[in-house]
Parts: sequence; structure tokens; C-alpha cells
Amino acid sequence: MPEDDALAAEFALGLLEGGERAAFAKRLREDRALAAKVTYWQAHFAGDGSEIEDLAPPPRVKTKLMQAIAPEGARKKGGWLGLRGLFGGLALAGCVALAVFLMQPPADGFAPQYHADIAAQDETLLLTALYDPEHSLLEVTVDAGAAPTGRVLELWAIVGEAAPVSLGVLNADGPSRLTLTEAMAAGLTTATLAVSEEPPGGSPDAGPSGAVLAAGAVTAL
Amino acid sequence: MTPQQEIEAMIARTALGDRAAFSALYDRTAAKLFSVSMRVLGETAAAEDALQDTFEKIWRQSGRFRAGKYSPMSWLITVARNTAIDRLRQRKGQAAPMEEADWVADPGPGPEEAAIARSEAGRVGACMGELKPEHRQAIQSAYLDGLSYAEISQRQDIPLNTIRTWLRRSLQTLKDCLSR
Repeated sequence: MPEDDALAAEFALGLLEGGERAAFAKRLREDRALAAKVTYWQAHFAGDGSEIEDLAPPPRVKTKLMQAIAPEGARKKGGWLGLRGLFGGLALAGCVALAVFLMQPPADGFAPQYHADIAAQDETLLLTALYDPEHSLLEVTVDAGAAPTGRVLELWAIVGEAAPVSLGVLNADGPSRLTLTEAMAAGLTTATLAVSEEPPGGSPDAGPSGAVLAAGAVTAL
Repeated sequence: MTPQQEIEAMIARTALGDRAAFSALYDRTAAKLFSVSMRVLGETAAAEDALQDTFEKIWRQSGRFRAGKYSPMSWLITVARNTAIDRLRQRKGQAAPMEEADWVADPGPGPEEAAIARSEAGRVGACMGELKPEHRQAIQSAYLDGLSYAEISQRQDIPLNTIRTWLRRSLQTLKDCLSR
């Protein structure tokens, strides 16, 4: 068996240790063919679940779980406060700038009426989108985080149950101003905006080809 | 939608922060994943904690899942297995986290390739049956009991290098059988 196939199987089983394991994990982050080999073994060892007998967990597990991920209350407040701790000055400056921005539309006539906070679950990636339906303009700013090395961020609109529609690739350095076609703008005021990481130039597929990193609903300002 | 596509859709909605979809995903899959936790950890309290951990990971990081070659169940089972193994090893005072292996992603294949991969995955039980019993035992004790090469070597009283050589040979046999 080729060495990499053997190492991938050993990694999936948890048999690699110490330096050998660390070296393999490092290669794995950059080598997609190697990642595919690990996935092969993981999928085969796990199976599709049809051979596993059901064993119902007690209802208390779900109760605790749903509390742990609840949007309101202590957890979310903690997250927001934690974020302010990290980005305190920055966030405040952002609010002031946004207020000024809203009061005084810039010379090019961009007058947003909708916005979306696009955030990763763990808040490692945060973006703000402002939408001006009159001018079909969408402005997106990355407030925290970035695309992984060698990748770009692509913005998607998801309207209801429809497939995601690409709105474009975002600039790596500074705000992106996207001019939307009629098809892109359809239903946007009630859409969810999502951001995926993609190869340079954007997804080669109709939908996201990379991981969906962050999402947020469009709301009226 | 096939059951697989339904689960994939639930994972996709979860990635967008949809709690109702996540709740439905739990209802649909928790009994399988709890079974995995129990098989690895062997006692209810630890298995319950591991199951909660598993689903919190799924909630936080479902955006990294991509529908592809394999059943979405195999991915969920892998997360449950890795989470339980990490707890088992912590209990033994070992730290070699499997967690980093949870989200190894696979570039998506064409539909034909996916159909082959999915039917292969269902055959693994039969292919394991072709291995010598002690070799099958070694693979199972690594996968389900989190044993290291050193522990397998002790348990089966066979030198470590020998174990590694024939375990790798067994994996090759397994792969040949799966792709037949």
C-alpha cells in the first residue's frame, strides 16, 4: 500500500502519535488529495449507520444541548461582551462611523435601507452588508477575520428554499461595492446572506464549493 | 429527497444558524450517535456528555461539512466516535486529540463516483470478515477502544513493529476488498 494511504488510515484510526502525527496533520491542512484519503477511511470505518442499532438518549441531553446553543440569555450576551472586549474600540468607532454614514449619504448616492450582520457561529468571521435597493448596490465590509490563505471569500444570497445565488467575490483589502443584476436583487430584502471560502476567482460550481463560514439575515435599517 | 439528502439539507440549514433544522437533525440522528458513544465509553453518564459535546461541535462547525461522496451519517458518526475516543483517552491520562480529524473535508465527486463510494461504505462489514480474526480485532480495538500500537502490542503480546506491519497489510486487504 502506498505510504500515504497507510498513514491516512492510521491517522483516521488514531494510531499516529507524537511527531509523526503532528507532521501528518500539518500536511493535511494543505494537501486536499491527502485529506480525501483520510475521508475515505473515516467514511468506511464509520459506515452509513445502517449497521448501528438505535439507542435513544434520555430527553435531558437534548434539553441541555438546546440551552447551550440558545440565542438569547447568558451565552449570547457573553459572546457579545467577549467580542466587545476584543474589538471594543474598533466596534465603537464602527458604530460612530456607521451613524455618520447613515445621516450623510456619500456623494455617489449610496443610500442603504437594509443591512445584514454576517457572522460565523464562533464569531471568528464578521461582516456587515448594507443594501441600497434604489441603486441595486450592496456594500460589504469585513469587520473581523479573513479568508484562509490562498482562498477568497464569496458572498451568496439564499432566498427561501431556493439554491444560493452568487453575488460576487469580496475584496481581500477593504470594503466591496457590488452592483447587483435584477436576478441577484430578487428577494434580497428577505434573504439570508452567506459567505463561503473559495479558490481565487470564486466557486467553479453553481453553488458554494468551499465551506460556508458565516451567515446572517437581511433586515430593514 | 432521499433520507441522505434530507440529512444533508438539515446540516446545511444548521450551518446557517437554523435551530429548528438542528433540532430536527438531533431527533433524526441522536439514537445512532448515542449508540456510538455508548459503544466507546461503556457507561451512560459519560456517553450522554460525549453526545452533547458531539452535537455542540456539529452546531458550531456544520458549515465545514460538504455533501460529497459519502453518506452524511458517516461524517456524523466520525464526529461522535472521535469525541468519545478523546474522552476515553483523557480518562486514561492520554492526550492525542482526534478532534482535529473531525472536519477533514473531501472535494466533492461526480454523482457516479458518489454512488460507488456509498455502496462501498456499506460493504465494510463484509470486508472486515475477510481479515484474520486477530487482525480484525486489532483494527476494531483501535477504532472503538482508542488503543495505540503500543497497547495493541501489549494486549496481543506481539512486538510493536510486527503489529504495525501486519495492521498495514490488513488495511491494504481491506481496501482491495472494498474496491472490488
